[in-house]
Amino acid sequence: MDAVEVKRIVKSFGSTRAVQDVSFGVRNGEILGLLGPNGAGKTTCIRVLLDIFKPDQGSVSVFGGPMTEAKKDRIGYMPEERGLYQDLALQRCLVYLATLKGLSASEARQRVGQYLQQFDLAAHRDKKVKELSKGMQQKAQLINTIAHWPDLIIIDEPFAALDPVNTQMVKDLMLDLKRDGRAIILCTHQMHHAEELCDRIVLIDRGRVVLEGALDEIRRQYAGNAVLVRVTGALPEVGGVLQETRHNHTRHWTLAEGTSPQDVLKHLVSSGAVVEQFEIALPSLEEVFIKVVGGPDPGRSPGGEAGDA
Amino acid sequence: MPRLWLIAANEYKRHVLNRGFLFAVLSVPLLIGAMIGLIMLMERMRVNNRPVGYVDLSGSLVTQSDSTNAGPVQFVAFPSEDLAQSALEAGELQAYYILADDYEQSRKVELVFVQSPGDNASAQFYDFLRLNRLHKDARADWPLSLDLVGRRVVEGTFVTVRSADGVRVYNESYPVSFLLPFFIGLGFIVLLTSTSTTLAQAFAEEKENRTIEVLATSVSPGQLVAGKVLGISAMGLTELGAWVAAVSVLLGILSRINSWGWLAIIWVHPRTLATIVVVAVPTYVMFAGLMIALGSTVADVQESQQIGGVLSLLFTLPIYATEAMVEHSTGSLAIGLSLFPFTALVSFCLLTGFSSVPWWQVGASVMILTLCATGAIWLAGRAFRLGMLRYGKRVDWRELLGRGSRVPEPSGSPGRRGIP
Repeated sequence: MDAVEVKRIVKSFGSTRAVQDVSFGVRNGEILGLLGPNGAGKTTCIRVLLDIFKPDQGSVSVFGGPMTEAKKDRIGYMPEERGLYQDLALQRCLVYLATLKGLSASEARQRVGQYLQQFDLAAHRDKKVKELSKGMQQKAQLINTIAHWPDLIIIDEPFAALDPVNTQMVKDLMLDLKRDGRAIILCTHQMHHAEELCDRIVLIDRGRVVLEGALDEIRRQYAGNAVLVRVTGALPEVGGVLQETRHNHTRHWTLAEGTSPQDVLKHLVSSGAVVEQFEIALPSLEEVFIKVVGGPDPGRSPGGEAGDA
Repeated sequence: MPRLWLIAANEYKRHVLNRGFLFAVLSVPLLIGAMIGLIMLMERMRVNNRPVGYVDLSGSLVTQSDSTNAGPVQFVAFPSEDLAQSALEAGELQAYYILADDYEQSRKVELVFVQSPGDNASAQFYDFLRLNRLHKDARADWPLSLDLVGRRVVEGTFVTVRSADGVRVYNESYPVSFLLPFFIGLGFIVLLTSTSTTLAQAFAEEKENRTIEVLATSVSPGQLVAGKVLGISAMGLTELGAWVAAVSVLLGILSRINSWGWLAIIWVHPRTLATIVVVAVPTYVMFAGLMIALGSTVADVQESQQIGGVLSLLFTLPIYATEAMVEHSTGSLAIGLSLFPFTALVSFCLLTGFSSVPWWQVGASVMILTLCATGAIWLAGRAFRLGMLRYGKRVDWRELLGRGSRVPEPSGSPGRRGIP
């Protein structure tokens, strides 16, 4: 059973149709990437999913049925930016928000204390949230999202203000949560993070789903006729290669129409070359994204979608 | 603990456990204490209880009465100016009076002093002269006892003015009781505006820092609004309670001082108090609702403070019309202001203090206020739903009132909560 099943939702704000016929689902133990450019409708989808907005059409099923107040306790949501009381001490703020998710005060204090240690924030527990750096606030928000051990985690742009070390820590945490059987929806427009973490993606543009599926399938679907090759020693003459680019010792060959990768491999082996690496060159998710969504659209809102999309 | 109470407790602690609240709580009693202290200091500076002498060249003064001597200043008769002057220079007197030899005709009295005598000494000597004058007349054709005449001169009249319904009572012994409803009303206004503007700020702040989005995934909008109203109202009641306690303690201490004994008999008729409370409760609900609507629809905290401040000024309008309302308590201005929701509370505080207000007027005002409070709550709910996720943006009032709606009505499953 899917943790979340969104079916053909439509949501308009006045004459603006923010979301049009969007469907997706996420299973336990899976990370779903909800991707799209700014203003695509990702946040609106999430708000509909969370029952903050009612859909004009379509339906949302969470843990096998409509959203209820009790089910909200099984969900952890981290909005794109801020979301904490700026004038409260960090620990007090997190404990309060955790109690609103159904934890007792002592349980909330214990878990928040553990996470503060884990995220290197224990020394800042008594500081006001506004006195923390952006990165620290981001980590604090993540603690707020997971402190009540939710079954469904929805995270909007979690890496925005993090340095590489903390980015890796958050990625590891997400993978741990996934292994632990949690369903995770990751909203981002940073494709390399999605590529690294997501099992499946849903790409939304202008309120519509333009691409969805398992990551590998999508990359294969958008793969051109190209291979990655690395050989030791002399490289024989290979026909049917239109273009070659090199990354260290690996060559990226774009093949001519009519030349298959099998032909190239057969030729290399028969020529006596020692092949160390030979694989179909798959496009990066970013390349797929650009291919599907296209270049920058001047009509799009530059300020993101928060608040009205 | 139910989440509504968690939210209320958090709001209460957030606002009460900070320096700003402590300052607000202490400022009123400190201000009142400072004002009373200043008055007492000035009074003390004008008081001098050292003996005062007099030289009666006219021979018209009779012996001092016990009543007059009940005052703290002793009057010492001197047969000549020289002796009085010597006593003054020796520091035995603060001053002495000389009654001219034609005092009976001219009423001429001369005061001699080195430093200005105390106001109390002059007042007491004036009573002494009046007492003698009355005593002299009484001896002639009005045989009253000197003690009785003395008490009337010193203590004043015993006239009590009472309204037909017995609610309004005035006499010289407790003039403050007469004004008390007005002060109670002002206290309510301060409480109402401070808690309501705090409410507006709380909603605007959560919208500004986007906490609202996290809260919306934890609690229902109803729990959120009710919890905030409860917590911040409790804060206001704490503030009021602290003021009442501090002022009561202050008055209790002051009433033990002789000249401030009248403070012990300050009172307000229960019906007057009941009138103020029944008007104050829907006024509070109405204003709180409007402030929630304001906090949910403005772009930021600063804007909510500015608009909230202007709205609060409406409450004070009757104060500017005090004279007209008191002089014509049944006039159209007084009735009109008592029926207008924003000015009803202060109007009733003024009217119940200075006149009797008919029940129909109170009933009509409470009914209008209740209708307005209901409308304000509806508006608050709608504003909250429409505005909570519009970060940095205002909600148009036409849209809020349902005209030219930009956001369609909810179309989700019946019975489910959520934001349209």
